[in-house]
Amino acid sequence: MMEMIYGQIGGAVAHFPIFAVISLFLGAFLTALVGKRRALLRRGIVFVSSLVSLVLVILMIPPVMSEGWIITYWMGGWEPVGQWAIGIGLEADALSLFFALIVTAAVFTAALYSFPYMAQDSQPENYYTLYLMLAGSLLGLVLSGDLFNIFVMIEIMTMTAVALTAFRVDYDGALEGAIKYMIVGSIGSSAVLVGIAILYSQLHTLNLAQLALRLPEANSPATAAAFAFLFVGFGSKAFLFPFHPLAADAHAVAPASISMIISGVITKCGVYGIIRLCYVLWQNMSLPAVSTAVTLIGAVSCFICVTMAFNQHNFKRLLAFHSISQIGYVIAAVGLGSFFGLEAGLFHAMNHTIFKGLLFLAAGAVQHAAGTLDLDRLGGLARKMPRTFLLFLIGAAAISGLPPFNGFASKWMIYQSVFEKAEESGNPVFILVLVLCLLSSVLTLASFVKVTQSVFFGPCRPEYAELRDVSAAMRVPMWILATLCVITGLFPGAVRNILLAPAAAAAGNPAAYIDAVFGVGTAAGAHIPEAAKASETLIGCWEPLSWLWLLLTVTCAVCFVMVLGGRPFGRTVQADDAEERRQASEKLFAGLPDPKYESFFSGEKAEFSHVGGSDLFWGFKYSLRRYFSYMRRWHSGNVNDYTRYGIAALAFMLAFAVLCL
Amino acid sequence: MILINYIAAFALIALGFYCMAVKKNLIKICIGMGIADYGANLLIVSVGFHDGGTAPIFTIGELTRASFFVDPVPQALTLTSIVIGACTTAMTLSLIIRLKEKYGTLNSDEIRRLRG
Amino acid sequence: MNRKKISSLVLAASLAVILICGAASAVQMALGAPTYDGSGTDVTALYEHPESYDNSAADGVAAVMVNENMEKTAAKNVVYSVVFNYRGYDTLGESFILIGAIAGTMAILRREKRAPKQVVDYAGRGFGETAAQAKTDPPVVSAGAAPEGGRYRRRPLIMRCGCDFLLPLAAVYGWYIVLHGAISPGGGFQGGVLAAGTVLLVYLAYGLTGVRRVFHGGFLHASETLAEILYVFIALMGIFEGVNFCFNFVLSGTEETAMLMNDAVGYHVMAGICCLLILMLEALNTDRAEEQQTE
Repeated sequence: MMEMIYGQIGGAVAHFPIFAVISLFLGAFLTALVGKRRALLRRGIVFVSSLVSLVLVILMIPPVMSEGWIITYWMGGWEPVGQWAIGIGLEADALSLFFALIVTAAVFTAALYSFPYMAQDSQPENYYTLYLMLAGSLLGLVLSGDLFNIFVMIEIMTMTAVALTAFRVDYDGALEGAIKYMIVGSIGSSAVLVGIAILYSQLHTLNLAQLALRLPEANSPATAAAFAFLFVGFGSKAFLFPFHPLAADAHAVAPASISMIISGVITKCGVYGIIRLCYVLWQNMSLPAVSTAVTLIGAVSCFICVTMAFNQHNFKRLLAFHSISQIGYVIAAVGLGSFFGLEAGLFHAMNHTIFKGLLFLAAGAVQHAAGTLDLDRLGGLARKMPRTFLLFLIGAAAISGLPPFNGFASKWMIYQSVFEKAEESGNPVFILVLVLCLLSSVLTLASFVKVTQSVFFGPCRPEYAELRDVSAAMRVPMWILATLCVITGLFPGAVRNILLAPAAAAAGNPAAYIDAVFGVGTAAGAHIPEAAKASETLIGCWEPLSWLWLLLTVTCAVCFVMVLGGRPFGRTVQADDAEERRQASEKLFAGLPDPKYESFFSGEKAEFSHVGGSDLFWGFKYSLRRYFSYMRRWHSGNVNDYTRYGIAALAFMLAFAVLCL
Repeated sequence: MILINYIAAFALIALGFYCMAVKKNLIKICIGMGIADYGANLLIVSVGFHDGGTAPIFTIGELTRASFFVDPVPQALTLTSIVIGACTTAMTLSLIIRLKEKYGTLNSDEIRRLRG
Repeated sequence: MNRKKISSLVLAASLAVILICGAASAVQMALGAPTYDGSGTDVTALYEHPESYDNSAADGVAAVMVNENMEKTAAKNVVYSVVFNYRGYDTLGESFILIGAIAGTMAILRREKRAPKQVVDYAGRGFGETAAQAKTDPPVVSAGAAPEGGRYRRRPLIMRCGCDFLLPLAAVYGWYIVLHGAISPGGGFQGGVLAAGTVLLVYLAYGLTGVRRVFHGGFLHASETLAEILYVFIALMGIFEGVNFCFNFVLSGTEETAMLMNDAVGYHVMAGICCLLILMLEALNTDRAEEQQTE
């Protein structure tokens, strides 16, 4: 394993984190100032600032991830005095940089996508100002080393995300989704603030490294309560279990590029907060109580959201539920407390941003072209928008976990880590978690079969006869994401070595985090153990290329059967009028058991039939109708109800923390 | 002495949450958000208090040999938090203005088109 | 009804748990040492001989900050010094929030001058509206123009006199608080908000018409953004001098170490809050309602 290097990194690299953050914010202000009239100037500023931050983050990868530096940067030059960190520190270790890479890559891609997508909206300079401020706050959050600074960044993030959700005010439901996000999100923000207050009163400092140094010896009911408050706060930003209805509402009504950022990046910042909280600050993820609780929350939110997705008639709302379900996977893997579980969770977090971003952008393309997102009204778009259809297929295959895409690799790692943890600890909860995860995977695949069928397959509806595919400018960001899907799926080993292993090692190594700030040996003096750095080998067949061959072979076989089945077994029938043709085709299909299967084998018959998207699994939904109607009543749309769920979650975590920690 | 402040802060937070969870009018929900925020602010600023301490300003004409300061850091945090609360309230109120125009009502039972 | 009862019970139980855990934490917080026990520091001696103080026995970050404040920043107001010197990055982030709130409010309260190109609907269930029934918005009244036709009702004399008397006081007092932040309680944020109260005074006395004639929202927004860019550049300037971001190097060591940042923040907050208030008052547009009443 790579060794951490201590000491101050020299040269310009130390300034890179703050430059990356400030370039995004400066871009926002410049857009607000000069971006009103000229679209080219506006787009240029956005493009340049997001590109600069992406490049700076990529340039920080070699020193931090490969060589093991931890960049510590004190704002205003206020170095720690004695053992007290009086200034605000930016601390970029491998875990922060991993999330920073996700943030900047997603921001850059979504910015490219917004140029053609938001071309028709009014006040675009406000959109780009808010967008760049959202991006800057996200980057500032993951790179920050000070707890109150993280809170300030969370507030900027929430406020700009709410404003961007409501940006298209004329869209039905946009304002409603935004105000629900605002109101229930404020519970999380207040919780973080209360947690910070309690921590400060007990430990007299706000710096993350110093808190990590002093927390293990200061355990008390008050710090346990602070843990609960902070956990619920970060969990509400990640839209975990009782906060997930907000996500569904907000994603559905936001513009597609913003949906990508909310689902792909804001949730990851919540996950980052939880990892910092449990692995670095409190170092209690190895406690069975905490581990069980976190994993269970993840698995429950995974399963509930995937079943809720069956009820949905709106394309983006369905994608939103799937997004939270995948975050449930990530939290379940992160909560295991093992090094491999952390790697699996981080890998799935990265992959989720990529394929969920791709899916949301494709949904935005469909909305841009067809004007509606209702699954019952869309249909048959594959012929009209073939390239978008192909990109959507790649995203759907990735999220369902089909090889050789990245979803398969990360889900495989998650299953293996959960299985090993269950075996090692003997805790029956982990078996339940494994079963829920596997079930959710199957249901995800079913759901995406339904979505693909109802949006893209089938005959083209008459009202979409003149539909054209979206412009190349909108497809380029989608191609970037699709390529990343394929590459990370084909070379998971390389991704693991370059990105995941350093990040997981950094998360599990609070000693290095502390020593980077206060000097070598501080952590050892306070009896904080060095993390165990076990490197697991993956079980099972891990040859992505052979999986690719297998997939191609199976696809060819299926196509072969489909094409052949459409022809009447090699015999051609010459018939000159309709009656003879009808009799001839009846004779051909005389051997088949049931005439109702004819349409599956011979292509379209004369009658127009369209199976609406909500009806594909009607039998399944009918059998489970009591469960679904209960779930539907539970997601009532009422902001008071959602607030009650949030408060109940806070109370539960408080009781759990004070009693069990 | 300081215990009263802490208990009052938590009571305000709980009151704000109650308001958000029970009241139907959106303006009242917004007020509840504000109350919860102010409770958190009260908690932060009370954390820094020390009985008998004076304001952390070197006003040399008034300080005696025995005076000492209260904690300045939570006061700075509260400053930031108040501004954040004001901006949050402003954004929520602007959303409420547009919601009233669009839906014609401010009852949260009727602003429920996104559900299921 | 059963579901409602369960819901209320769960809510009551949750609030009770939050209160109890909060009370337990409160008891523990009150019993433990206060965050900064300054009773061991002789503040007059600290003021007179700042260099001779040592903070090796510090019990919190606040102790270190108070002990070395006079030596490093020479600002008499320690809170001001914490806000702009030690934790200047948080103040920067806070000013960003203000711009975010204004941009967001502008985006939410905007009025479309034309029907949008594509009116998309949401699933069509439970709605009465279809795409064909897109609402037409009332005509836009631009800032600075008087409402067309009719007169607006004049406010009572005492309100107008009160505003005329208090307006310069509010503005001057606000800026007094901003400029004296280093030596008395105050600073950029507090003073800026006070100075922005002038908008409300004018609104109370002269209505929206008066606000439109006195303030120009577009100019305020542009100048506020410019102040913010200047603030970021002041913070960045330190980097070119070899120190880190957010270091107040311009007047380092003097009493007014953070003066540039303080004044920038004061102007930024004043312009920003004025902008917010003007946006919301425009959106509410009460003068038009009055017009329709009097006609």
